[in-house]
Amino acid sequence: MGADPRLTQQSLKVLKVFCEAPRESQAGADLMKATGLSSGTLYPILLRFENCGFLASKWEHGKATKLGRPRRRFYTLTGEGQRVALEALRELGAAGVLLPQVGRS
Amino acid sequence: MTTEVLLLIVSFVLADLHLCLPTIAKFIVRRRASKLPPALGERMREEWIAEIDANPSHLLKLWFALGLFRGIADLIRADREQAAKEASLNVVLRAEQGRLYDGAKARGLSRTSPSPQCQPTWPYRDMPRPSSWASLGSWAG
Repeated sequence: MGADPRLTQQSLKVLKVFCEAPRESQAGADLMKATGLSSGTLYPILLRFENCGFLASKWEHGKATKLGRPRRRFYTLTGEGQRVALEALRELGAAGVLLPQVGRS
Repeated sequence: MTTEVLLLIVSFVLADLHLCLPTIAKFIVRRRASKLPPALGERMREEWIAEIDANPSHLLKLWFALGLFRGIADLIRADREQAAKEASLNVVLRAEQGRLYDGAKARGLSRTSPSPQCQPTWPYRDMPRPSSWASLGSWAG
């Protein structure tokens, strides 16, 4: 586990999507749709969160030949990630900061 | 008449180009992933191509690939930071292991020389094994 990454507005958008459905796994494209972030912004955030233990990722179950397409990688929120995310979102809410809007499909 | 022919040709070209968009997107993704460190690049290439294949819209496939022109430097930075953290943690763990071994030796727990199986291994082939674990501990700590 590393030091906590800087929580920018964009990274908070990502955390907020995960907090809305903490047990759900999300693929990169789903997160792009939900947060409105571009792939070039989203993937560094995901990697940093994964490196510091906020997110865990794993490949989709099944073989690519059976699925008929390459396996996707799914990200899930860890317990630590959920704690930090809720704390950050709560602090922002208490400070009256407008939380970033995320659009769920 | 000429305008109609031109429009027809342009529409054919655009239709062909539209069909090529996934190939162009995958080409861009492979090129961008090749800029990353090998292990991360391999993972990201597979992940990004899977995302492109999962997306039904050809334009969105290209949009996904074009977005990657921005984040490569950030990905490299994040990967380097993680590698540095892991390396420093490894040095601290090795030093701690050495301190424990030296402590046990000082308390006389290993009065007789330990068998080769019990001696701590030195994992770095390109670095000489230190004469004393204590020296490694003071260097790292």
